[in-house]
Amino acid sequence: MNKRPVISFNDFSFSYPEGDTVLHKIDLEIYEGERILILGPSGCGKSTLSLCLNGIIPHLIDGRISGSLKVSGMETSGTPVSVLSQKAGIVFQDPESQFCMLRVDDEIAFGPENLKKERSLIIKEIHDALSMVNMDSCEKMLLNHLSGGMKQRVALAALLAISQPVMIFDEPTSNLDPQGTYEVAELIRGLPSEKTLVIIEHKLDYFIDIFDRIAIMDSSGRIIAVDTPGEILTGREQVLKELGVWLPQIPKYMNKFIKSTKHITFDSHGQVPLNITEAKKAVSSSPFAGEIISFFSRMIEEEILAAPPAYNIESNRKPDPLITVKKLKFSYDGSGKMALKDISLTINEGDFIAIAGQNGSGKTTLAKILIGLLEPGPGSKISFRNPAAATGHSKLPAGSFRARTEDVLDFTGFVFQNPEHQFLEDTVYDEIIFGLKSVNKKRNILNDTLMERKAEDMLKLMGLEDFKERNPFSLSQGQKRRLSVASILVMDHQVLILDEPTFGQDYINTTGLMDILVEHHRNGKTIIIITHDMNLIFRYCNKVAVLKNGTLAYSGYTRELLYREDIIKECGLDVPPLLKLYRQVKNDAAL
Amino acid sequence: MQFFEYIERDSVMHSLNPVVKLVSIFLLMLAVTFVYEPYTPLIFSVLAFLQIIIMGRIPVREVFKMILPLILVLAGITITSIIAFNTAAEITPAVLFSAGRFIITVNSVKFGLTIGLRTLFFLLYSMLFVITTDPTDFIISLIRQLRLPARVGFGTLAGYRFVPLLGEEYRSIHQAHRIRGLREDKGAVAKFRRFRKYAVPLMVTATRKAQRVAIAMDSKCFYAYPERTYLREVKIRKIDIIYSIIFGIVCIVIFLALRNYGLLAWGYRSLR
Repeated sequence: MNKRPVISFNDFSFSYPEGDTVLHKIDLEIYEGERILILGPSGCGKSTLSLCLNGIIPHLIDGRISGSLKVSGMETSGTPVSVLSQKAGIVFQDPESQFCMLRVDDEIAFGPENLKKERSLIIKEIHDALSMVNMDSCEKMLLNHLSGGMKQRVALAALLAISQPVMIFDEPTSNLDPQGTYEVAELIRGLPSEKTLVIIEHKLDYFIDIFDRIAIMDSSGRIIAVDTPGEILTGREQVLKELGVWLPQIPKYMNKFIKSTKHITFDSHGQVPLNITEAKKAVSSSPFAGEIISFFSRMIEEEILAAPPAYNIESNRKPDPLITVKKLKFSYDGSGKMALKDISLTINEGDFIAIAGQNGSGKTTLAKILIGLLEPGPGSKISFRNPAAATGHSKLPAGSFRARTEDVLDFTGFVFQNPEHQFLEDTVYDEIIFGLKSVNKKRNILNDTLMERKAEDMLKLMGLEDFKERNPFSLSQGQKRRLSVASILVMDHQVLILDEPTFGQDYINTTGLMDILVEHHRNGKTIIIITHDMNLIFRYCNKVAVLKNGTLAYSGYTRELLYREDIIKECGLDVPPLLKLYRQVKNDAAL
Repeated sequence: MQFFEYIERDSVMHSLNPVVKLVSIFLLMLAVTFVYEPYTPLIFSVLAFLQIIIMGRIPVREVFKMILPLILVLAGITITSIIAFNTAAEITPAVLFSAGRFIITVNSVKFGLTIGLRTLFFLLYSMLFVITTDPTDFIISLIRQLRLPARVGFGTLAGYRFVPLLGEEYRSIHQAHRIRGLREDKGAVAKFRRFRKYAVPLMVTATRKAQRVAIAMDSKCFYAYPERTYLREVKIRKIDIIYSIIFGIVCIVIFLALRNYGLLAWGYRSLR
C-alpha cells in the first residue's frame, strides 16, 4: 500500500468549553486510499473526531484543542472550513437534516456551485454522481419523497460531485432498514480505490470486509488499538466486548468455536474469517467441518433464534387472543393514499411479537391505531381485550373512539421512537414518578413511600440512579432511551408496545434493555416491538408481523419466516448472517 | 387548513422570473389598495383568475378547490366591513335598512364589497405567485436579482424543509404525552404548562436540526469563495421584459377604462 498519510493526528485532544474531554491524546495516521473503521461505544467521541477532520471543530463548534491534526498537510486549526471541506466530506447519520435544498439535482449541485464550477460541468457532475449511486435520472425527484436509503445515496452523490479525496461516513446506515443498509454498504464498497474512507459504523455484518484497518476508541476518547480487521477481531475481541460494541456475527461465532475447542486456527496467519465467503472456505477446508457445523447449529438454537416461547404455551394453555384486527385500513389524508390496507391480524396474550418491514411500510401507524392514537378507516374492526380484566372487550366501533382509547391506554404502554417526545418533567426522578402518579389517579393503590421505592427500584434497574436530578434532555442517547422505557415500564401495563427501542443503541445498551423486556415477558406481559433489526427479531420475538407498503405480508412464528425466502426478499428483510453461513456450509457438506 | 402550494406546469407564468413576477404583482396590489370601490378589485380579480387558468395553465377545478374553503372567510370580511363602516360613517345618504342604531347604507355595502373583493384580489394574486413559482427558483432569484445574501437565502430554503417535519414532530409529542397519562386540563395555567412541555422538545429538535444542517452546508464548501455559480439559470430574460410591459399596459388600460366609465374612485374619502 502507498504509505502517504493524508490525515495525521499528533497528540491531539479536544474538549468542549463545558470541560468534558472528548478526544484524548490521539495519535493516528490514515494513509491515502485507506479504508478505516472507527469503532467504539456510543458517545465515545467518534462523531466529534469526524467533525475535526473538516475543521467544523474548532471553527464552527467551540472547544479547546491541543496537539496537531493535519489533513492533506494542512493544520486544521489554522485552515478555514471552506478550504478543509474541499479535502474531506461527511455523510451524516440523519438523512433528514443534511440537506438544504428541495430537489435531488439542486442538492448535488450545491457543492460544485460553491466551488464556482461552470453550469455545464455541474450538470455533468450531477449525472455522473447519480449514476455512481445507482440513481440515474432521479435528478428532478423531491428529497422528501425519497426513502431513507435513497436519501443517504443522494448525500453520498453530493460528496462525489465535490470529489474530496477524503470521505467520512458517520453512521450512515443507522436510520436505515436492512435493504437500505445493504445498498449503502455496497456503494461504499464500490467507491473508487483512491478515496480515503473514514467510516463510523456499528452494523458490521454488512461492512466488516470493507476495511483495511480498524481503530478502537474507548469511552474516554482514546484510541486504544489500530490494526487490520483480522487482527482486531482475533486478538482484541475481549476488549471490544468490554466496550460493548456490536461484533460482526461471522467472526464472533468463528472465534467462539475456536475458543471452545482450543486447537484450531483458521488460516495460516491465525486470523478469523470475516465474511460468509471466507468463512465458507475456512470451514470446508477444515478437518473439523462436521464439528463446526454442529457448533453453529447449537449456537443458532441458543443465541440466534433464542426467542422465548409464549408463556401460555409453556403452561399448556390455549392462547387467548388479545388484539384482533379485521380488514383494517387507514389513510392519513382522509381519502387519498392508503397508509394501511386490509390488515387482519391476531396478537395473543403472552406474545413477544415484532412488527417488521421497511421504513415507511406502516409499522408505527399500525401500532398507533392499535392503541387508538389514530382512528382507523371505516369498516375496520379492532378488538383489544384487557388481559387483567376477566371480561369486557374494548371493541371498536362500540362507544366513542376517545373512550376506547382511554380504556386501552389504561393497560397498554407505548414507548415512542424518539425518547425526547415523551419527556414531561425537569428531572429524571420526576419523570418516573409522573407515571406512578398517573396510575394512582385511576386506582389509588400506591402511597408515597411505595411510590418512592418503586421509582428507586426502576432507576437502579435502568442504571440511572446516579442521574436522578439531571434534566432528561441532558442525558446521553442511551440514557434517554432507558429513561423513556423506565417511565412507561414503571406503570406496569399488561401490554407494552415499543417503537424501535434499540435504535442507535450499542450492544450493551441493547442487550440490557432486551433482557429487561424478556423478564417482563416472563412475568406474563405481552410485548410488541416495532423494528427492522432482524437479529433482534430472531433472537427475542416468538412471532412477527411483516408489513409491506401498508399490507400484511406475513404474520406468524418467527422461525417459520426463515423458510419464506420470498417474503424476506420482497419485504427488504434479512436473515442473520450465521444462519446464512450455516445453511450454505450444510448444503455443501450434504453434497 | 390547506395552504397554496407550488404546482409544477409548463406555462408562461411558470417561466417568468420570480422577482419580476413578484414586483409586478406587488405594484398592482399597491395601486389597488388605494381604490375604494368594488369594481376595480373585481375586474382585477377576474384578470388574476384568467392569468391563473390561462397563462398559468392551472385547472379551474384546482383553483376552486383552493378558493372555496376561503369563501366563508371572504363573506365574513365583507359583512363585518359593512357593519363596521356604518359606525364610522357620519353621513348616511341612502339608507337601505335600519333597525335602531343598526343602519346599512349604500356606501356601507359599497365599502364592504370593496374590502371583500380586495381581499379576494389579494388572495388570487398571491395564489398566482405561489402556485406558479418554484420555491427554489424564488430564493435563487432573490439572491441573484435582489442581492439577498446567499447565507440567508439557503438558510431559508433549509428551514422551509423543516416546516412539515416540525408539524409531524408536534403531533408525535402530543400523542406521546397522552400515552404518559397527561390529560388536557382546562384553564390558563394548565395551558401555559402544556405549552412549555411542547416548546422544550420542539425547540430542542429544531435547534439540533438547524445545527446539523448548518454543519452539513459548511461541509459542502459553502462560501468557499465570495461568489458562487448556479445550476438554475434564474435570470431576467426577454420574456420577463415583454410580460412586464404587456402587464403594465393592460393594468393601465383597465384603470383608464374604469375611470372613463366613472367607476374608479381613489381613497377612503370617496365613500363619504
